[in-house]
Amino acid sequence: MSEIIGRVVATEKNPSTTNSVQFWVEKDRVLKPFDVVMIRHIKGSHTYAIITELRYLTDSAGYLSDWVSADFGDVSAEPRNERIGTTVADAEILYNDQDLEMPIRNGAPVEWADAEGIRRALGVVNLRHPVPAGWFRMSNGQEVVIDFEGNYLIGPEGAHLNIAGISGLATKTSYAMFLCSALQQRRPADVSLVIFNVKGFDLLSLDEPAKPEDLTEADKANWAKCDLKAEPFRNVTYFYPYAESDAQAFNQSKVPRDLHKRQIDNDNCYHYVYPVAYGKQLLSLLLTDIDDGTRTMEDCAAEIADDREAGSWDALREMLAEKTKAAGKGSASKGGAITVQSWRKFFRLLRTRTKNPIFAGLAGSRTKERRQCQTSDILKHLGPGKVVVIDIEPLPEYLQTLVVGDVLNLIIGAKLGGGEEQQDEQLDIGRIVIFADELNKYAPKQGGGSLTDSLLEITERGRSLGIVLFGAEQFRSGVHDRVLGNCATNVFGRTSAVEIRKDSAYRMLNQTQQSSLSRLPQGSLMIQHPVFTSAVVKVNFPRPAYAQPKGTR
Amino acid sequence: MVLKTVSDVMKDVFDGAGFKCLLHDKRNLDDDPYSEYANSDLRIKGKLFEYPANNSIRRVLTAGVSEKTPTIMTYFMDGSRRVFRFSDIILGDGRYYPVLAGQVGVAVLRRNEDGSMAPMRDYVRYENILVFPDTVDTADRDVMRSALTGSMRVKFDVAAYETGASGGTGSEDYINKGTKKILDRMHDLELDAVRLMMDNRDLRPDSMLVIDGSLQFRREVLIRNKFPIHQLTNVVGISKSFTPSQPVAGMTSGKHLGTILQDLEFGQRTPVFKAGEDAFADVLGVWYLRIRPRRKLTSPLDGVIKIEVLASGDERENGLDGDRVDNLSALILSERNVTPYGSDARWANHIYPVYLTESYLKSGFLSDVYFKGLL
Repeated sequence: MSEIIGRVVATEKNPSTTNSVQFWVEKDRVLKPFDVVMIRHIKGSHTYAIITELRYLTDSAGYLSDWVSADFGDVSAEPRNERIGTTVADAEILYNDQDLEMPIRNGAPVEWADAEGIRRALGVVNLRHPVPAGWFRMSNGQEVVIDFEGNYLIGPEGAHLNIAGISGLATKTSYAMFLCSALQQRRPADVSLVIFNVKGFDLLSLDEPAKPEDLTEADKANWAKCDLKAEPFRNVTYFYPYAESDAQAFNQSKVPRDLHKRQIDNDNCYHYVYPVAYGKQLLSLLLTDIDDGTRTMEDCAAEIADDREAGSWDALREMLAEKTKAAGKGSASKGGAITVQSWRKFFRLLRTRTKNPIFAGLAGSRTKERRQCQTSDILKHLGPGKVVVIDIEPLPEYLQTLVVGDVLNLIIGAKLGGGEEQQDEQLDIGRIVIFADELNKYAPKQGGGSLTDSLLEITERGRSLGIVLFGAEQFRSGVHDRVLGNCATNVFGRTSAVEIRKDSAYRMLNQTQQSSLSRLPQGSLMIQHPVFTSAVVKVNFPRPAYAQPKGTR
Repeated sequence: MVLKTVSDVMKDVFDGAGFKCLLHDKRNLDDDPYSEYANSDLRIKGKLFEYPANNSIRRVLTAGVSEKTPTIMTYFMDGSRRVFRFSDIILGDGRYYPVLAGQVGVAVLRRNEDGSMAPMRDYVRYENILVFPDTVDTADRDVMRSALTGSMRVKFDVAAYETGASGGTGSEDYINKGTKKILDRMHDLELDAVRLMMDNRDLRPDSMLVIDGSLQFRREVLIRNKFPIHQLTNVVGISKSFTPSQPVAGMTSGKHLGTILQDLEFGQRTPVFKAGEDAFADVLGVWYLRIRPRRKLTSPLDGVIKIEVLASGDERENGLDGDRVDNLSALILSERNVTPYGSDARWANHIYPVYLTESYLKSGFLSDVYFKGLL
């Protein structure tokens, strides 16, 4: 029998129940919320419970009792007698190895649970497709590796993951990349990854090995703990927004020049552009942040999309300018449905929003240096075991929305077999996992337009289509409810108390878990997953095994 | 084995033997929290018993004995009892007596070097007892004892209270007599524990035992237990209550004890008085000490405790050594905090280690509900 660390206490006011148990803790024992204990129960069974709260109590009947005990409020009084007290732990029942649901008896001995028992209690044994989720460390130093069930992480039984937490700790992105790496290693014949880089350049070197000082032996051991190799991603292709200037090496990205050169040498980077013929189909995505209650701007976009005349973006803008000048002319083309004032507004927006160099045609000269491609080419680089990184960081928000929306629609189209040329490629692109940070921009709680519709399409139908969204954001409260509601797996990083009070998602956490959330250290997360028997599990995960350019962490 | 109640067994044993057992409402007789002391406070003799002679109220010197000074009060003992009335019995000749049941226990706690308290399980005892009138003779009580052993899982001892030379025709309070019998059994357990502690060499001048209550055990109890009182040499008795309306002739004639005590200020003690009777005559010193500031309390004698110590060596002749009394007083004063304020109505007169001993002891009693179910 292992060491007893406490005994169950069931009182008239605080009885044991089928869901909860309390126990007092041996003096000098150190425990913390999320530790799992094993309690010997009736019929020789064992019950596992996770600590939710710890309380220290004494026999003091009230504040005044202590005040009196200090010689009636003498702060310098030092009593000879130490008041008796003990720590009482509240724990939530996870599992009984004989399926008994009877409340635990008073006085039952409490012991540390062993790793196998904990995994069984948390429901993470005998998984069909385990994907490492990290590990958690108990107060007695024991570490327990936790797995997600792949069928619930990326389908078909459940899908989509959301990560919320305050910015600046690099935890959200690091965790998403850890999971992506786990998927690439565990499901190489199945999963392909699409990653949007929205901040800095820390996702633009995913296939570069980390420097030795950034990946210590201890870090490698942490990867090994999860039964994964501490290695960078394989088969990565980068897509950067095109720039016209040779001096910028024809891309707007902040990717370090030497790194970019290596990628060119490896032939795994491209610079995307939007030729007018394709780009004008997407104009509605450019306007998702515009308040367009009457959908007039969308009508304008639709009309332009149908126009076959413009051969370049300049020509398109000129054509639009014409519509704004001739009063009634534009109206006449659609039976007066769109007014000149609307065209003028549309023109103003379009003129500003299509100034970026990505709105360019495919050039015929210096093609090797320009490395231009269209976003539809991204699909060609998708496939099981492959990774596509699309850099949108240099673009203003409305263009980021355009690119994300465009790529999502391309993927949905490919999966639905929309494009003729894509019919044969359906099976090849595999199960696609898309990682997008700042999800609140693309699927805001209110508004959001057509991009939100695409994200809803993905989260509501993607599970069966094989499109999975790994979204991240600072505040869950800023993201569309249905997008969040469809995420089978939720991850919580450190979150401000204000946000915790604001969003209903945090109500499933008890008071201690909520408080714990507001002071989670860097590298720690709380995870919620359908197969877990506990509401949340607190985990740690390994540091990234790919190069982390200095200044980004 | 078919489990029966005590009443079932009584009916089996007595109903066919000319007695009649009547079930009584099962009632706890311990409602008064002070009852355990009320009948144990013997009068002081009013004769001073301190050397050098002292007949003034003194302020105890606490400067040399701070709360951090190592204390010699290492062990704390408490005895307790719970008494229940549950049946009456009618004898063949028509006399009518109550039958009582009780739980008695004694516990000793030791103060560890780090200040924490731990029970000394070798000295912790609990007993259940049934008390019949002695008109139920020994043979019948033996039959009862053996029938209880055969039918009940919880062990009960059987005892008898005296019904008097008149054979119980007087107007005695038999409830009180029966209760005293149970109290005597508690004292038996206490003396037994002290004897064991002496045998084990636990008690020394630098490692004393504090008993909750008086050291003045009844003569019958001492004789029955063959207990020489010198075994109480390293024992201090601390009583939370006492009789204030008694003369203190040795100090100021005519004044009652309470009159003197209500003048005591925080940290002051009285001179030592002689107080013992029988074996304790001429060897028991008693004094009173105020351990709480008077102005903070609601009753005049709250915060005053009674301390008893046995004279040893020359003290038997001269009275208790004044320095020793001061030192003990200072140490007891340093025990005043923390308090069970809010948890125990007697908090002002309690010292916490004794309160803990009492709490520990009572936590081991069978619950009233369960115990009544056995009766």
